Amino acid sequence: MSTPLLLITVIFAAAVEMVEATTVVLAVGVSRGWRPSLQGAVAALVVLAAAVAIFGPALIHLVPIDALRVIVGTLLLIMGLQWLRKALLRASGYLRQRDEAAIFAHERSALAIGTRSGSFDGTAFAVSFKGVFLEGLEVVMIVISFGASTGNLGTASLGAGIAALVVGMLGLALARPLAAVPENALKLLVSLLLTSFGTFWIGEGMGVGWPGVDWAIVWLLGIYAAAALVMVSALKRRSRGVQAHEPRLQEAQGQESSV
Amino acid sequence: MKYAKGFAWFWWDLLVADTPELTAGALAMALAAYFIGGREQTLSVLLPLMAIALLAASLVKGARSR
Repeated sequence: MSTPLLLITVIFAAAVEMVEATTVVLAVGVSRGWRPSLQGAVAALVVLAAAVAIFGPALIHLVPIDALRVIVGTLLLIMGLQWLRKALLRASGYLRQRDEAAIFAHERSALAIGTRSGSFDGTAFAVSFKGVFLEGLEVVMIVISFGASTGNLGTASLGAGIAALVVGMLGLALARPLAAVPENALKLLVSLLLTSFGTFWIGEGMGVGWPGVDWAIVWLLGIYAAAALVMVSALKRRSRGVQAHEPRLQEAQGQESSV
Repeated sequence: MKYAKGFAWFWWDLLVADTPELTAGALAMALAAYFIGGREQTLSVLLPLMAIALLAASLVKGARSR
């Protein structure tokens, strides 16, 4: 698998999670102070990096590559399909779009209620740590999955590092949630990539001779993107149909009850 | 115990949550791939088709519940 494709995929996947983590770090920083917020975020990043350093090489050396690809492919396929489902339901109006500004305001008001005890703000540290750690665990899984399956843990880790650095610096420089980042579009793209890689690796692990060999990821991506477009349009049609049907249904029910 | 529960909850939330059909379907895909294994070309068509069917079924379920 080509290194640039691996790098780009991990950067995008990690960026989605980092945007969410940055919202929490910013909310803590603005409402409780930057020091404990950044301390919490850095502590979480150190723990996450340690997890990659410990489990990544261990997986590569201990698990046979074909078995690893099937396991990793299945995990990526599950995550990819879950993200894709959510992104498509959002794109067709069945789910509300994620609003970083609203989440930021909510976190900020919740944190403003608490009181600080002593010189070290444990609450701020813990909230920031938890926010980065939980979002980061998904990134760790993606880094280890991609790194172990391709035997290129360094590039996968580099991709996650670039995403964390760029998104984190951007958030701190702006000091407000990254609401302008088209998160749903990014999530849709990443989910298509994860689903394609997941399918590809399940097949690779089972000895499938993919037409086009590594280029199969590209045509799988194309097929899934086309299917996603058809599904969004079908969902939108269904949504319009339900909306048009509802007033008539209510009218009919009203007539029934008045009889 | 608290940490073990938290760890188990994390994995449940990450891999199952409100879409158990996708988890079960992806596992079924891997199993199907294992049993069909020998017929390699069939799998390169079957795997993406199964994933699309799985996603479509889950979307219908999701849209109906809203």
